[in-house]
Parts: sequence; C-alpha cells; structure tokens
Amino acid sequence: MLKKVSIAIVVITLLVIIGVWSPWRNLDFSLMEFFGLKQSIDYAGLQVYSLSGEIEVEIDGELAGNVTVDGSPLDIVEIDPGEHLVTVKRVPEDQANDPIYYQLNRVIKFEKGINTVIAYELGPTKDFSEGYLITTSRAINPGSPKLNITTSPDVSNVIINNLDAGSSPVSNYEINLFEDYNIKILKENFETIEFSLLPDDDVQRELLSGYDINVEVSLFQIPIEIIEVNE
Amino acid sequence: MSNKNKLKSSVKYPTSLIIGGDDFLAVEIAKSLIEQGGYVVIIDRDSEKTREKYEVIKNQKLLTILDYSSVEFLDDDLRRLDYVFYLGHNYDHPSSKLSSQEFLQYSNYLDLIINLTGKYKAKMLLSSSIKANQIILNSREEIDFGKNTKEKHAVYSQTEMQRYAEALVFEAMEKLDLDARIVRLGRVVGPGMDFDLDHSFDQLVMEAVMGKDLKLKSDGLESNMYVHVLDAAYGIIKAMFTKETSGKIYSVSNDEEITDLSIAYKLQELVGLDQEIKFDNSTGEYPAIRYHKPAKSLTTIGWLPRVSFHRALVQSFDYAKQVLVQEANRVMMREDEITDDVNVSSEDDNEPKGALARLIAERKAQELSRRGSILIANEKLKDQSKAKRKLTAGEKVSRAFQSRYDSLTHKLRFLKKITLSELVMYALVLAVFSVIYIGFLAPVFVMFKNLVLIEYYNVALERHIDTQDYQMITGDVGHISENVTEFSENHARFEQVYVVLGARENYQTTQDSLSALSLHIQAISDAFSLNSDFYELVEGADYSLVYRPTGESLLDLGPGSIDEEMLAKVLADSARANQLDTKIEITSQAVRNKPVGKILGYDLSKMYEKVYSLEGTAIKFSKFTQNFSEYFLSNSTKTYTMVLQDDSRYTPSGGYPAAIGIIQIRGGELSDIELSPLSEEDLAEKINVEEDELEMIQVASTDFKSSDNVTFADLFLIPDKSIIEDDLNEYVDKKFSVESQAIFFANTGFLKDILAQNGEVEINQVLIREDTFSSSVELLIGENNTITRKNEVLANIFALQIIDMTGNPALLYKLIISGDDILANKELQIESSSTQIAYDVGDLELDTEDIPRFEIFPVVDPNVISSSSYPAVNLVIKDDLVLPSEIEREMTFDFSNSQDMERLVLCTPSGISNIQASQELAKTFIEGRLCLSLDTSDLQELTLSFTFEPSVETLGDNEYNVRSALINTPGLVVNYDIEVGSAGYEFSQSDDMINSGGKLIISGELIENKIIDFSIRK
Repeated sequence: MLKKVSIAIVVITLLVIIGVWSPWRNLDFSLMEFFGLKQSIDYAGLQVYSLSGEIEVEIDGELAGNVTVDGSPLDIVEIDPGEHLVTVKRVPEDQANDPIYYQLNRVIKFEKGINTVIAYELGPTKDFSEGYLITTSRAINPGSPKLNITTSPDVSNVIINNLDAGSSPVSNYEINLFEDYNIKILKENFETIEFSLLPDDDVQRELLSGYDINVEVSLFQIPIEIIEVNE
Repeated sequence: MSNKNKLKSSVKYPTSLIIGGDDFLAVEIAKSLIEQGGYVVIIDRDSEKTREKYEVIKNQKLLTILDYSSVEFLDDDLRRLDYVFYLGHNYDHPSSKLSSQEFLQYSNYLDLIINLTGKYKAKMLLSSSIKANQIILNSREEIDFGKNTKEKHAVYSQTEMQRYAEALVFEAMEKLDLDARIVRLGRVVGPGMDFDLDHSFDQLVMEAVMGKDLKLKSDGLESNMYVHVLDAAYGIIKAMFTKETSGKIYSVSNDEEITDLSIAYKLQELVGLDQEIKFDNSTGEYPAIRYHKPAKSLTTIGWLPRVSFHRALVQSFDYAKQVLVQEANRVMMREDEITDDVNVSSEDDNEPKGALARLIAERKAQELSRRGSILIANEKLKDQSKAKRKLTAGEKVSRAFQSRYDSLTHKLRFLKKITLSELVMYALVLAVFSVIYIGFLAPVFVMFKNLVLIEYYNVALERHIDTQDYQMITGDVGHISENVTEFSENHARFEQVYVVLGARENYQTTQDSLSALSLHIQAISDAFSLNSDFYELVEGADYSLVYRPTGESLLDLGPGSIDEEMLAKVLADSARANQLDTKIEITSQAVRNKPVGKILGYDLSKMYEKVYSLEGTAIKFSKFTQNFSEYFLSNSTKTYTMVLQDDSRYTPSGGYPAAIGIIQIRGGELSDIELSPLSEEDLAEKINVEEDELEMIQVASTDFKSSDNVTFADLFLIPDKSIIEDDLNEYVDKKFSVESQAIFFANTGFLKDILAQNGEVEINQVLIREDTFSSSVELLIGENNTITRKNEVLANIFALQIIDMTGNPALLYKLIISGDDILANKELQIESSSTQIAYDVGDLELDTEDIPRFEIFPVVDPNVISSSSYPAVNLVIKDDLVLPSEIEREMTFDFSNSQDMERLVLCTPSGISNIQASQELAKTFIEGRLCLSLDTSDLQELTLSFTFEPSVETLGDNEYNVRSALINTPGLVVNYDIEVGSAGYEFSQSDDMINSGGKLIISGELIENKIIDFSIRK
C-alpha cells in the first residue's frame, strides 16, 4: 500500500514538474499544417519603397538589396520572424560631392506571414528626410484591430479617409481590415505625406487580424530661405 | 490455431490453470469454469484420452491442453493468469513410489507453478488427499528409505510428495505472500473416474462388475472418506472463490468414513448375493490406524455434499460397466486388425488378455511415458550445465545485443498481456490524457508557476525600487513581463472551457485585461532593458577626460576608447526605442480601461501597482534612448556648446555666464572638449545685437544700453534664450572655431543637482556638497572677491562634474530620471536651431504656448557677487472672474526680503487693459508682449492691477475651463498666494487648490512654470 502511494506521489510529482517545464511548448508543430489543412507560413516579409534616389537595405548588418524609385518596391521575403535591425541607407550618386545622408535604423519585430513596409526619401539629416514605416504588433484586443500613428515632428494633423483624425500621435484608432484607408499627414512648414495603409490582397489583410498596425511618419521640413534685400 | 496463439488471446478471459488435468475431477472443474466464461489451460499429458475427456466441453476454443514439458515456457506465452488449480490428490496409496529424480522434477514443476502464480498475483488451490495426510501422520517413523523396495532409488512415496507439496505451498504463502489454499479431498468417486486397482473401492467395484468374488484385505475394516466427483468439483471451486480462504486447509468429503466391508455389502446388494466376500489376510499394506483429526471441513464456508455415498457407489458401478464394455469393443477391433495382418509381432502374443488386464497394461504404459518425459527434461538440464566454451568477440557483441534485446523484450513483456482492442483502448485513454494534460493541466501548472515567480520578482522589485538599483529593477521587470505574458498566453488556452461553462464574456474580459497588462509591462520592460545597454556602454567607455585647473581649458582629452560592439547594440536599441514611449502610453490607457482583478486567487492588479509606478521612468528612458543615439552616437560629428550660468548673479535668462565650452562627439567618442571660465574682460567684450534684442536688454539693464556698449554679458539679460542663440553661436565660432548644433545652458542649480546625486567634489582641499554649496564657493573665492574669481570657481566645479558624469552611468541614470524636473526648473535648458532637437526638448518642457503668460524680472546690480543673496518676491494675486473670458487681476509684490533691486519688470500678454499701479510704470513691447517696468527704489511693496483675457475652453453649458500661467526664471525666488473669486460660479479644482468661502486659493513657490488651471460652472 505504502509502495503504491509512494509510486503515485512520484508519478504526480513528475507530472507536475514536466507540466511546469512543458518542453513541448518549444515544438513548432501544427496539426492543421501536418494534415495539410493549413498552409505553413514560416517567414515574414519586408517591402521597401524608395521615394527618392537609390537606397540600400541591410538586415542585421547584411545587405538585403537595393531599390530605386522606379524599381520599388523591393520585396525581401523569408525573413525569420522576430526582431531584426533594419538599416536603410541612401546610395550617393556622386561619392565625392554628395552629403552624408541620414541613415534610418529600426529594430523591427517581424511577424510570421506579415509584410512590414518602409517607404523613405533619405536626406542629409533626419529633418530633411521623409517617409513612413508600417509595422504590426500583437493587438491589445485581438478582435478589434487598432491603428496607431506617430509622427516626427508630432502634433501634426492626421487625415484618415478625408476625415480629420486629430493631431498626432493618434492612438487606438479603430479600423476594419477589409476597408481601404488613405492616410494624409500635414503640418505647417513641412511637406505633406500621403499613402495607403493596407495591402490590396485580401489574403494578406486576413493575416493582419490579431495585430494592431503602427505607422511611424517622418515629415520633410521645408527649408526657409532668407533673402536680404538691399534698398 | 496453435496453443501459443490461443494463450495470447486468453487475456480477454479470466484464465485458470489446472495442473494434473487428466483427471475426471479436473474435467468437471474445467467444464464449470468454461461455462462461466473462463479460459482454461490444462497441464497434463496431452494425449488422445485427455482430449476425449474434454470433448464434452462445447466451447473448445477456451481450452488449451499442454503437456508437462510446456510448464517451463508457460510464462512466455501466458498473457494473463487468475486462478491456479494444482490437483495433487490422486497419489494416496502407500505403494505408489517415486524416484528422487521424479520427486525433483515434481518439485521443479510445483516450484515453477508457484512462481508463476506469484508473478501474476493469481489465486492458487492445491488439492491433496485426506488419506495421504492420514497415512503420513501414522507412518512418520516408518518411512521406508529403500530397505523394503526392489528399486533402491525409489525412496519417496506419493503420499510424501503430497506432504511436500503442502509444505512448499505453505512456505510460499509465508515468504512470497502467495494467495493459496489447500483442499484435502476424500476418495473421489463417480462417473468418469479412473479405476485404480490398487485402491480397495476401485478394485471391489471392478470385481463386482466382472462378477468375481469381492476380495477384502485383512479384516475389511479399513475405512476411507469418499466424495462424489460433482461435490468435489463444487467444493474446490467454492474454496477457490470464497473470500478469506487464503492460507487455510479444508477437508472435502462426505461426513462418514466407509469401511471396505461396508462397500462389499453394498455391492452385494447391487449385483445380488452370487458373489462372495472373501478376506485375504496375507496383505497388510496399510499401517495401523491411529486417531486422525481431519482439517476443518469445507462445510464451514457453506459447502455441503449433495450426492450420498450410496448413490456415488451406484454411479461408479454403472460407469465401471461402461468402461468394460468400451474396452471389450476396442479389444475386438484390435483382434480384427491382427487377423488381417500377416506379420504379427511376437510381442502381440504376450498381449494381456482380458479387459481388466488391458486396462492395467495401459496404465503402466502411461506411467512409463510420463517417466520418459521426465528423463528427457533432465537431459536438457544436464546439457545446460555443461562447461561453456570461450566466446569469440563477434559472439560477445552479438550476445550483448541479444542480451539488451532480451532485456528490452522482457521489460516490454507486459504488452503481451494486452489484446489489440485493449491496446487501442489504452492508446485512446493515453491520447485523451495527453490532450488534457498538455492542453489544460500543464498550462495550469505553468500559470501557478508564473504567479509564484511574479510574486517573487514583485517583492524583489519593491526592494530594488527602494534602493534605486536600476540594473536589478530592469531584471525584475523583465522577469515579471515574461511571466505575465506566459500567464496570458496560457489563459488563452482555456477559452473553450469558459465557453462550455457559459462564461464567454468573462473569458473575453479577463483575456483582454491580461493582454493589455502583458503588453504594457512588456513595453516598460523593453524601456528598462534598452537603458540597461546604455548603462553598460557608459560603464565600459573610457573617455579619458583630463582636468587641467591651470590650463586655458579646464578639460582636455586623453586617449579614450569605447566598446564598439556595445555601441552598435545601443544604436540598435535607439531604433527599437522608437515609438516605445507611445506604446507605453497606449497600453497604459488600455490597462486602465480594462483593469485586471484576481485570477487563480492572486490579485494581479496589486502587483501591477509597483510596475505602474515605473511607467514615468520607463517613458523617460525610452525618450532618452531615442534621442541619445541621435545626439551623441551618430556617425556625423556633433558639436554642442556648454554655457554655465551663475544664477546667483540674476538676469532674466537665468544668470550671467560663468563659463563656456564646447564638446564634440562622433560615433559615441569624444573628439574635442574645452571649458573655460569667463573673466570680467570676456564678459565686457562688446558685441553687436539686433534692435529688438537691444530693447530687451534696455528693459532689464541697470545701465543705459545703446548699440555701442552692449557686452557679451548683456546678452543674458534677454529672457528668451532662443533669441540669443545665434549671437552665442557666433561667439563660439569666433572663440573655438566650431559650428555648434545646440547650446546646453546649465546653472548652479544643475551643479547642485549633480552634487545631490553624486556626493561631493573637492577643489583645493575644499569639499563641495549640495548643502554647503554657497559657503564652499565663497570659501574658494576667498578674499579675491571678483567676478572673474567666482567664475573660475564655478567653472572648476562644473569641469569636475563633467568628468564624473562621463564615466558614471548610475549618475546619468539618476539625472535622466530627474530630467523632467531639471528641465522644468530651467536648471538645464537646451536651445537648438535643429527642429528635431527643439521638438524633442519641447516634449519635456511645459507647453505654455496658447496660455496668457505673466513673467516677472527684477532688475538687480550685476556687480553683486554674493552666492547667498537672491532676488525674492512674495506675490499675492487676486483674480476676480468677471466673465468666464475676462479676469480682473490685482498683483501685490512684496520684496522686503530680497536682494536690492532697482526695478521690477512684469511681462504680460499684449491685450491687458485697465492698468493701474501704485507706482509709476514704463511700458515696452517686446516680441508681441507688453512689459511693464516699475521703479522699486526705496520701496518694499507695490501693487498693480489690470484686466486680461485668460485661455477659456467651453466644457458644456455655462461650464468652462480657465487657464493662465506664471513663468519662472532661475535665480528669482517667487512665493505666490493666488485667490480666485467668481460671482455666480462654482469651482472644480485640482489637488493643489483649496476652495474656501467660494474662493479658490492656490499657494506655493514658483520653481517651475505654473499653470493656474480650474473649471467653473454657473
């Protein structure tokens, strides 16, 4: 009897220890995929648009490709999900005379099957660069995806589908993944930027469910030229 | 189907093993067991005769008959064993002898069966005979050790073997905890019995059937106990299946003992009196009878004999007749065959004649056959014990593998006992258990682990917050974040459980709260983690700053270095930090909207309080990380100007400059640094200023200033530093030949902040601490009390503190955390033409852009050098809200406790009206604002009243939010008492206000810009 109780205690203890350890959590296994009911998506993607000149894209310090305005977008597929340092550099047309361009560095958390979008015109400084970056993050409320917009500089006017959404930053703006969204950012003394938020493909839109969409916009400062007039 | 396969299928049925099964009693027992759905394995001679006996059992597939040689291999083939019937009751005649070899073999079989029984935890029943027990007891001292036998080796009797069997079973019961019982049977008689002519009953019945005289041994008073075969079978089954029979011995027989003479009489009655009874006195094989007390009768557990002895005798007599008829027929058939056969064996001539003789011959043949089997088995044993030859290496390997294989198969033997359907069922049960275990139980265990760890790190966090150990705090928050995230993920697995329980909404609410909490803590953790890398970068960097107290520049550069790998990491962090502050704010809002409560008995919201207290710090860290890399780590060279202002020598911009320097940074490394104190000559250097700058200087200067006599020091009379930025950049360009991207203005308040965080600095053996700052400075100035000397002292303190800051990440941490206050108090101000810097800094400054601002500037003697005498004003403001959009304000300035001041300047919004003052005032418009200058000579107090329009926001019908602002300037001490009255309106105020008698009272010291903000409702 004592032996049986001891064995039962040992077995239960082992089950608790293994349960707490739960090594199977590290297994990347899906029954749906195993039975071919669902297609396996193992990689994330990055789409890079150049808004001016040729730009070079590095992921974790390794060259991933170059793209020009006409050749945009550059589609980088098969990026392992997780955090990667993405560097976007302007390729100088004249190595000797071109200024040192601003370099965009972002650590982006790539999610399986989801494309991150970077569209930039890189100028000599951050002030004189513009563009946007669309990323995703795990939704606070998975059933209701939200849009968050930050701008540099902030307190810019955000227009979504021709409706004023207030000043940036815009947080938790409710969106429907199957509608189209046109985003327009305006600020005095800065150039206006306008772009579409969601991909055209419905399948890709479906992959976005369960995620919030984050947009980071940099505005181009309009240079003010002071002209001295001698009367 | 082979017997092996049949045995495998036995696992479905309760399995019984009957040893000694070639017995009519065994047939009855087997029939009974099979009829009840059991599976029976018979061990005996697998002969045609045995099979004939069992043919009466219809369901043949539940029966397996094996011979004795199979006993050794039974264990390999059996999958299940429940009951073992070891029938050893047949050998009760003292003349039956066994050789030692036979005895050993019998012992081996019994031992194997006992082991098998024990292994399967089966129940065992051993049957022996009452007669044998009786004989043994009576002839213990007369056991023949071979003297009276022809065969010297045959020293054991069958009765002894029964005694041995009982003893072995009892030993096993004691030592092996065997569940066994012993049943001693009377002589079993009835239809189906085997007639043993050595037994008096069998002999008398046969003689009666054959019409012979009935011969009795001795006087015929030898008596025996008898039991009918059906009663015996019933008794054995009863003993096996009745509870609490284990370890006991029972007797199974009819109550009375029957003498041979009595049997002879009964047979005479049956066949008539033609047959005589004869007594043979020549034989006396039975030992003298002593008193024998049989074992407890089975009647004690409810068994009763149903067939009387008389009836048993009649049935035995009838059966004997049938046997003789069958034997006669068989003999006739054989004789026909012999007639047909030409080659007749000579041995055939010796064929025993007569039915009884043939029967006896057959029995002897069976005995010989049994002995033959035993001898063959012994030969096998001998072969196994032969000396082993040496094995080759290959054989050793092969045997090692075989041994492992055998070991594995042995361990997996339990599978043999499982049928396919059971295997499928077990697999299903295992699968269901696995799903429940992995899907639900394991997540619950993990969730409990998470809660334990959350509580553990929460306690540690509280401790580390108290000690301000930010490295440890980073670790604690990281662990809490990991566990909250894991907890949230595991909770999500229980959605279907909530649905089944009809609590879908509860699930959604809890999960949403957990998700928000998880994301929020993760964002805070990320912010701390990013700063941790920065900490390591600064800690590992060697800036090699050299302090040169006698040099033109107090600071110089030595050969420094920075950890390039860590630098790359911090640069990556700055990229990661982007939007992190927004993320913290968004998730924080989500947590507040969806507060999390108790889960699994643990109050997560209580834990959250501690983490939430770090939210502000996390936001500061993330902003700092974002900006730090841009301003200090980028690959392009960044040059910044450092200006130290002496706020004890008051100017509207925060004090006259005491030192100026530059710092150049490229890729995180210092490429140049200079810091020089400003002498009186430097300060008196003439500079050109714009017209509007001159106007501002004139308002705040004690001397008359024209475009010809504006000095470098006069620039600091302009309150708005953005206006003097270009002039300073020009000065820096001229002095240091560099182009500055931003100017950092620090004042003595900032130096005190560093001292408060970092302890003390030492100059000329004078320790300078925050609390003794002024006296230490005066001590260092000494008797040479000049502006130049004071600036030198302050510049040296500043230089030493810069050295402290560059190699001390802990100090930088503390400064970052108190950064908001430092900037709000204007102890450190940053001006830059860079929009980015302006916006980044603007984030940290109080936004007063759209609010009517009132700024007070005293005009004091620039030559007063004291470090302890400051201009100070006690300000009383009485606001009367005429309309929500109009305020009548009366301001009373009491400067009785102040350093001497020549004038007081109040800059107001340009739209004020109804200005009245207790003193003559001058009006100047500067930068769109109206500055009122009042002469304070020989006065200790003055009053000013006017009407202005505050910033008003309509909240609803007759409900408004009203705001105006007081702007502080470093170096001026302002204590304020504000009283707001409003006829017909009710106030709703914030925490720092008191509502007294329908009036709003606000008091405090103006150490940062103050927004007077309240709501009113009619």
